[in-house]
Parts: sequence; C-alpha cells; structure tokens
Amino acid sequence: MSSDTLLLDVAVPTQPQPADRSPRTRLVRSPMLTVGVAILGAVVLVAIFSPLLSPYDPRAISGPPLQTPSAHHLLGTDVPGRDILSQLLYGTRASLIAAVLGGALAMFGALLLGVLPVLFSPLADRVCNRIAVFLLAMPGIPLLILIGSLAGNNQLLLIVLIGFAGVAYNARLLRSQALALRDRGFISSARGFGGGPLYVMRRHIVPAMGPLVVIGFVNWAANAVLIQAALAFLGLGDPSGVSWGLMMNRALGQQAIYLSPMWTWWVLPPGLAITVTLLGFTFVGVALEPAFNPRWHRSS
Amino acid sequence: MTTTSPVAPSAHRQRRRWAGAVGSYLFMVYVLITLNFLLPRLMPGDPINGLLSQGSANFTFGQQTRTALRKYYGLNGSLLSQYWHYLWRLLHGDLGRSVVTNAPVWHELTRPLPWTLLLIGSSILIANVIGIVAGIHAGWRRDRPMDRALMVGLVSIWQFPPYLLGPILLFLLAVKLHWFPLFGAQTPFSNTFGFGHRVVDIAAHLVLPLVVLTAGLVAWDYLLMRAGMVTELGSDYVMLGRAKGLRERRLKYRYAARNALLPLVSNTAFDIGAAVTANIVIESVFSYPGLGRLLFESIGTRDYPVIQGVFLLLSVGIVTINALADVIYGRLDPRTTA
Amino acid sequence: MDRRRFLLASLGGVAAVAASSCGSGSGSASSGRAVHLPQGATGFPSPFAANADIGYGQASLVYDTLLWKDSSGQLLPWLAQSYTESPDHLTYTFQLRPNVRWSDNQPLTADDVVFTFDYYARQQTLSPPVIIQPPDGIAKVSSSGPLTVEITLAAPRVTFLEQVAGALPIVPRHVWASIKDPGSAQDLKVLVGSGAYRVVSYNGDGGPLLFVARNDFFLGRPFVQRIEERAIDDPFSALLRGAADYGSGLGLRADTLAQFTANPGFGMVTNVGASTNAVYWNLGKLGPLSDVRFRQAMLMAIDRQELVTRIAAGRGKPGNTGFLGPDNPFVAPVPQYDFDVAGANALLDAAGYRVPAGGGTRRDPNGAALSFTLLMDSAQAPLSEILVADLRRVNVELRPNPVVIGPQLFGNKLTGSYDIAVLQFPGPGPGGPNADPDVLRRLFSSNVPPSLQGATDYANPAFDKLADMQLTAFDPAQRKTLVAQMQTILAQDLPVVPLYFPEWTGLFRKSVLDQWYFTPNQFPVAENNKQLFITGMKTGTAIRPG
Repeated sequence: MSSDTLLLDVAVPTQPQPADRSPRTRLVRSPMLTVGVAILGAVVLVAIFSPLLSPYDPRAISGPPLQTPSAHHLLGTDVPGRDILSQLLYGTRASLIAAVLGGALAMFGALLLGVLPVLFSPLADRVCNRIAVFLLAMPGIPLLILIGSLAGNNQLLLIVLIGFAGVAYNARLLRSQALALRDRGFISSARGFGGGPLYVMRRHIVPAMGPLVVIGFVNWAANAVLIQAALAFLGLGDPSGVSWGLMMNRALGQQAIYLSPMWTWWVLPPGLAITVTLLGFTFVGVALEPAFNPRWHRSS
Repeated sequence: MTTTSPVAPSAHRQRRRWAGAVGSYLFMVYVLITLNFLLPRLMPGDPINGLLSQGSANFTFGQQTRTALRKYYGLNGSLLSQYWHYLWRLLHGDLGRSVVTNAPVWHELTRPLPWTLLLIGSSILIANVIGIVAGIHAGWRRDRPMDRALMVGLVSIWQFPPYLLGPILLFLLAVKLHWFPLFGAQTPFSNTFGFGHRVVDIAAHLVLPLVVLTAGLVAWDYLLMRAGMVTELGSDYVMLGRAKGLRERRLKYRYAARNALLPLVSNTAFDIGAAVTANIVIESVFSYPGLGRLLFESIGTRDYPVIQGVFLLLSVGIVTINALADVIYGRLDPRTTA
Repeated sequence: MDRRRFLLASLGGVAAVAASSCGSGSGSASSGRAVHLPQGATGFPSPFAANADIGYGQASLVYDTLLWKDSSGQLLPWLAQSYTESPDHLTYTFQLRPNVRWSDNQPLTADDVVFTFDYYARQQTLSPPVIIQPPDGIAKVSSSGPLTVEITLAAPRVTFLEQVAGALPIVPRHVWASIKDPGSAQDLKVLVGSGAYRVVSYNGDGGPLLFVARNDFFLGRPFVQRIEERAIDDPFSALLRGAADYGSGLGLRADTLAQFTANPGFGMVTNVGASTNAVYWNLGKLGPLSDVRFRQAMLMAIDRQELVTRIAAGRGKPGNTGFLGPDNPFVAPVPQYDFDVAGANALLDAAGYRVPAGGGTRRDPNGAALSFTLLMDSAQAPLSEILVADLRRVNVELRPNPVVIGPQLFGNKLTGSYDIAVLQFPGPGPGGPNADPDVLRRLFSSNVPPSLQGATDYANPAFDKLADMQLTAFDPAQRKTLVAQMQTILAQDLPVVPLYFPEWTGLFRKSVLDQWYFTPNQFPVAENNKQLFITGMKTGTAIRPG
C-alpha cells in the first residue's frame, strides 16, 4: 500500500507550474472534495466530542455480555459487556491519531530524506536516494507486522513505525520535485545570497512543494488508518485499547460469529467506520490531484 | 530507479551502469538477508518456549531439555556465530528446519507458495486488465458521467479494507447463500477428482479471496492509467496528432495508451507488495493456505527459521521483480534506451 | 495448542479448533463410512513429530498401544490380549495378540515392543525434539518369547497401565532402528503402524490429513472407513453446512447452540472442566503475593460465577480452589472463598494492606502499593478486563501485560518474570483439571521438574508427601482419600486457582456417527477416541455392523 502516492509520480510537474487560476475554481466545485472534507470534518468532530457523544465509558463493563441492540445499548454489548457504540465513537480517536501522526511523520521523514539532501550536495542526494530506493524494495507491511510484534503494546511506537513505512515513497516523490526546483536555479540564487540549506528549505522549497506535501500527507494518513486497523485486526498491538480494528478482531474471534446476527452490529459498524474515514481521505486526495497537475488541464 | 540519460551512453558506460545495477541489487539482497536474520531475534519471546508450549499442559522438562533443544536447533551459540551459520547454510541452499514442526523450511514454504502465487498472480492480472481498460476510457473522456461513475465506484470499493470486505462476502455468499465454499484453497483430498472438476473446484475456492484482493488493487491501477491518459492527452504530440487529424482510435490506443501504460509496469512491483500485505488478512479470513498465513503463524511461535524463510522469499521476490520491472521499463520507454 | 490455535488465539478468539484427532468414513468410491473432522494435522503424525494432544491423537490412529481405553474408562486389551501384574506391582507381563501385522505386512512381535521402550528412553538424550513425555520409572523391558513382554518398574505406579501401557505407541524396529533423529523423519514412508488406519495424505502442519482404514486390522474391518481431517477454522459453520460431522469448542453462545439443538439430526456431548483459565501467583516474590491471606482475599474479590456468565456465555461452572474440574470423579469439596467484597476488604485490612487516607490503591505495611502486573495471553483481554475491574473494587491494581501465548507467556512464566498470571488449559487433554489426579502431582509437587503450567515456586512438604503416596495407592478408595487431602492443601495454599470452567461442547451429525464421547481422565485421547471410529460403539472392541 506504499504505492498509494505513486499516482503522483505521474503528476510531478516537469515544467514550471503555470499561473493557472482554473484549478482552484475547479476545486471549489469538485463534489468529491466537498464530500471528502465533510467526512473528515465529521470524523474530527466525533473524535473530539466522543466523551460527550458516548453513552458509556468504552472500557467499562456497562451491561450484560452479548446484548442485542436496545435502548440502553444502541449497538449492543461485546463479550465482557462493554457498550459497542461507545467503543465505536471512541475508536475514532485511535484512527485519527494514527492518520495525523502517521501522515505527518511520513512527510516529515520524506522532507528530511528526499528534499534536504538535494539542498546540501549531490553526493548527499545520491546516498539518500539509494537509501530510499532500498527501503522501497522492502516488503513493507509484513515487515511492519514483524516489527509490530516487537513494539508489543506500545501504540505510539506502532504509529511511528507506520509513519516510517511511508517515508521512502514520499521522499522519492518530493525529491523529483525538489530536483526540478533546483534545476530552475532559484535555489542556487537564494543560496548565493547567503541562505543556508535549512533557510532555503523553509523559505523556498517548502512553500513551493506545499501542495505535494499536502497530497502526500492525505494519502499516507489514509494508509495509516488502514494499517493501524489491520494490525489491530490481526491481534497485534494493545488488546485492551479501543479501536475499530480491535473491535473487529474481537468480534470475528467469537466462535461461529457467522451463525449469529451479532456480526451485523459488532463487525459491520467499525468496518464501515474505517471505510467511511478512508473515503474521506481518498476523496480529498483524488480531488486535490488535478489541481496540482498542470498537464491535466491543458488537455481539457 | 531508472535514469534518463540525455546522451546515448557508450558501451563502456553501459557496462558500468549494468555492473552498478547488479552490484546494488546484490547489496540489497545481502542487507535483506541480514535483516531477515536480525529482526525475528529482536522480537520478545523464545522459539524454544514456543515449541515447548506445543506439548501437553503437564509436559514436564528440566533445564537440560531446554539446553538440548537450543543446541539441536542451533540457537545456543552467540548471535554472531548463529549469523555466520545462517549465511553459510543459506549459501548451500539450506534454510534450516522449523522449530515447531521440525520439517525443512523449504517444505513449509513450497506447500503454500503455489496458492499464494495463484491468488496474487491472478489478482494482479485481473486488476491490471480492469484498471487499464477502465482507465483508458475514463481518461480519454474525462469528466463525462462514465468517468465520474467509475471514479466514485472504484475508489469507494477500494476503501473497503479486506478485513471488512472478506467477512461480508464470506457471510453472504458462502455461509448464507452457499454459492461458494467456506474455507481453504480446494476441497480436501480432491486429487481423485477429474481434471476439469479439480479446476472448477480450485476456481470456486479462489473466487472470494480473489475478489477481495482485486478490489484492493484495481482502483489503484485504474487511477494510474487514467492519470497517465490524462497526462498524455495534455502532451504536445497528442495535440499535434489531433491538429494533423489523426484518427481518434489510433491516437487513443497506439500512442496515448501505450505511453500511459509505462507507469503500470513499475507499479506491478508495488501491486505485489500490496497484495502480499492484504493476503495476510485475506488468508486469515478465508483459511486460505498461503504464505501470509504461514508468516503470521510463525511469528506467533517465533519460529525463526520459518520467519526467515518467508521473508527471504518475499523480500528477494519483490526486489527481483522491482529490478525486472526496471529492465522492462527501460526496454519499453524510448527515452531510457536512446 | 497447535499452531492454528495460536493463530485463532491471536485473532482474539477462544480456541475454536477442537482437540484430538480422528474421524473415519468411507471413500466416495469404496464403500464404507466417512467422517469429516474440522481439525488439521498438528505436526507430522508420527509419534516423534506430532505436536500436542491433538497430534498424539492423530498418530494414535496409525500406531497402537498395549492397552487402550474406551468411554467406560476401562483399559481394553489392544496389542496385548492379556497381562498379569505381580503382587508388588513392579512387574507386568503382557501377552501380545498373535498375527498382528504392521502396515507393510511384517509381523509385530515382542521384539518391537522392547525396541520401542529402548528407543524412547534413548530420545531423552539423543533427540530432544520429541515433545511427548518419554515414560519414566521403567527399570527394564524384556521379551520372554516372541509374543511375551515383561516390564519391570523402578517403583510401583498406579498410573503405569494407563499412562505407559495404554499410552506409548509401539513402533516397528525395522523402520526406526536406522533412524537417528526421529523428529525429523517426516516422510509418509516411515508411517508404518499396526493401527486401524493408514495416512494417505499429509499436507504439512495445519493442513488436511486423510486416514483410510486397513481392513486387515487385528480387530476386524473398522466401522469408519475413512477419516478426513479438513483443517477448518470455523467448525460450527462447517458442521451446519455439512462440511464437517463434528465440531467442538468452549462456552458456546445460546444463539449458536440453538441452531443445532433445534435440529434432531445433531447430537451433543459436553464436558465441564476440560478447559480452564487459571490464575497463577508468583510465590517466589516476597510481600502480598506470597501471603496466603492476600490470595484468599483476591479470590473473594473475584466473582467467579460472573466469569462464567460473561465469558463462557453462561455455559460452565465457576472455578475450584482444589484445582480439579467438576466432571473429575476425584473432585473433593474444599473451601471456595466465595465472592464477598466486604469479606475481601476486611481480610485485606486485617492483613495490614490498608487503603491510604485519601483512598486509592492499598499499601502493604512497608508502604508499597498493591499494584501487580497481570501476565496474560493477548486473546484473554475480556477476562483481564473483568479481573481488573473486580480487584479495583477492593483497591488492588492490576496492570495487564498481554503477550503472545507460546514464546512469551510461558517463557515469562517459567522464568518467574510476572506477578500474577492467567494461563489457559486450552481444551480436553491429559494435563487439565479433568485428568487423572496425578496431574496434581505433576503441576504442584516440588519434586517434579518444571512444566509450562506448573505452579511457580510452590513447595509444601505435606503436599509432596501425599502426592507421592497417591502414586502407589492401588486401592481406589484410599487413593481418593489421599487426593482429597491434596486438594484440601491446595485450597489452603492457593498456588494456582482455576477461575472458571467453560463447558466444552461437542456437536455431531448423528447420521454419520452417533456415539461420540469424552474419554474419562481425558487420556490417552480426550475426544474422538479411535475406539469409537473402529468399533462405532462407546465401549469394547466388538465392531458394530454396517
């Protein structure tokens, strides 16, 4: 799934970006973007206000076990007797933290590995590029599962690792953009005026690559949600946490779950919550795409 | 991974480039092999305890049993000596024996391998075909209703993680409707079936995992192809071709689609990475006897030799396919062959 | 605990894969009965490579023992048609059946039996990967004639007939004599047995396994002609749909069970105490953990009936301080320290573990907080959540430390790196609460080597003495008295306490086979005993027609 941002490989501008107003106007009118932003907004709100929205403490045993949905427990209860709806609401937090932290770490690492070396020296760039190519060739997620067992119950470490898994791809992506900018010469002129690499990066490179970084972030945030839930689903990570993946893990771990209607209120809601969140990120990502791809518009 | 040279390289430079590529490939494999050795040993837990826990609850043993087991499985020396041992045996094609089953790792790998290859291979093939066909049409007629429907449809399906889509399909189509078998890659002991019957049997078992895996890949291939088409449409030669009055079909398939296909070649390697990943979950859901399951189980018992074996296969496989994709890409892309 | 069970456990479920092996049936082409079972191969089915109780059961279809047990608990004449026991219980003479043939048509003789005992004894040092317990306490095995074997023990053992003569698979000398490392011999060619079934197809650990009957078997043509072990993760869906003929698991939910009990085509057998989750205290640590009053108070703080309700869907019984399971004939009434929060609080206060002035976690007299790590299998999260909540009520803190079951849980437990642990006795088998009461000696006597599930640093000389005495108590009534005394000591000391006994439920399709049972003492094979497949009956060696 590290291939997510590959789309952008095609999209990396190889020519100076024309001062084109149309992408922005198109963006505003894109229904995909609207829907995506609405979904993400809702997810963020639920995450923030889950203590207010949840009828119970998601970790507390608040009723008899395996209750079917009722007025007391709108989505029933799980095996020790915890409220499923409350877990669903609180689970938003785990996914959102994974998304934001994972996406941010991936892009931060990508800037360090892909862009900074370009500003330092060609040698640093070549070495870092080799490293990125190498990291890219690793079977990422299986490796993550291995390392995930190593992380044990440390959720934060797991998220850091998920972020790290996104560094190499995004580094390659940003690098080609940075190279293009370098070739256009405005870096050398800025440096000629005495700006250090970090200064140049802050003042010139980051603003110029902002859009690309945003898309990379959005894409990897979606991946982080997916991977975090997958690891929890596989039973890696803290089994007493509250997350969508873990809910599915527990539900599907129930003996003969398919012979019971239970799965419609225990398996489906967290699964669909993941899907909806991913949709939010992906819609935003896909909708932003054309705005930053100059060639895209010439053809229309 | 492919560099575009502005000038045609001399034969000498070409050779150097090849040597460099092969060198870095071998280096990569070596680093992977070393990681394969180190990572499992960094995990908390001990394979000998994993093995002992396979015994009955009241199986009693003294310290000497544990020492003897360590020695038997070559886990008694220092990490460095174990490492040399591992490299030396690997050089001789010996992957060791599983600590849990005491069977050669090679056997453990070759049993699930065909099933994983079948599942991943057919899924990547189907995803690419659907993605390419849909991508060409959508990209050529961008923003038409067809494009929008495909876009929203495929992208939405893509967001159903395998751990949701799998259980849903299994429940509806296998448990409730009985259209597909519940588990496995084939009816057990079906070797008495005739050839045709066997093919049908294997196909029936393949459908659900295949659909779930393909759903995760197809949107990506589609987006890539569509973006490629859109980009090609924006390029000068298409405009020129249009201006010259070239036939639409010719332009679409002979020129635009051909060029837009290039990124899909290098993407195949990523498809494989993604498929291997999704496979771990899918094989769990459908009890499909593939490598992902083997990997997951061996991690659970800390069965070092098996973990090493699966990783070796996966990582070297992915690195090799990457390298091959580079070569093919170079062949296909006129800019890199010069 | 086979590997698939690990997987399932990691996936967060109760072990859905049933225990031991077997099944039988007719090939589609050949006539006869076929039984489809949900489990898969648990290691290569030779006595030296099979894993766990399930693998042993699978190997037992191919290999025979001198005696074998049926549902009555009676040891049937099997390879031995009769035996005599010396008055001092030290020498047993077995008379083998004539005309027993290995599956390669060689005759089975006393020589093979002598070889088998020698071979196992050698494995203790030669080839440790043998995971079944080599028989101990055997002084000498010799043959006095082609069909007569004499076994002399170092000391009398009441368990000898069941746990050695009725358990040790006899292997052919002509196959194994030349094999130095039996654990790694995993070619179908080595599976030459005297048993009723041959392995026709083996597809690796966890894969399907096919047994086909030998019609030249010494008891006659087996009732079940073909046993398909199909490696299914969800036995109950498979059973309902017809892909399996038997499925078992623990703590079955009412909605699942109803689908089978409503249908007269299905039958059910149950066993309470085959499986349990037991709490372990690290008695090697000073402070509250080694203070029996603290442990008593903890038991009073835990509502064991509630565990049955919440985790086992109400099907099962609360745990027993005397360790043995409800269906164990040796179970004796002992003090239980029933659920009583006020009592627990009073006991803790009296023992000097007081709640600080402002509330919060109790402190011991030295001022250290009563806060303990709870070592547990990641799949046991629901149980740990209840325990944490229960102990919080009496101001004791538990900090769950969920780990991977095999490599970590048992590892930490063996090295004593834990405070309190919950370990599972996963399913029917000879090591659990419903086993022969000698299990108490193996788990709790300080004279035996450590085992995965034995108590940590528990030593009570009075218990050790009783444990040794019951081993030589050949009068059943006397043994029962001794075992009751052992349980009384355990209930006083509380080194390990089963928290609840989920019911182990076996469901089966009657039209295929209707005599399923759990073997008393859950040994040599707990469920799906080959005696059933061969005879089609619950008892005896006479084969049911048809």
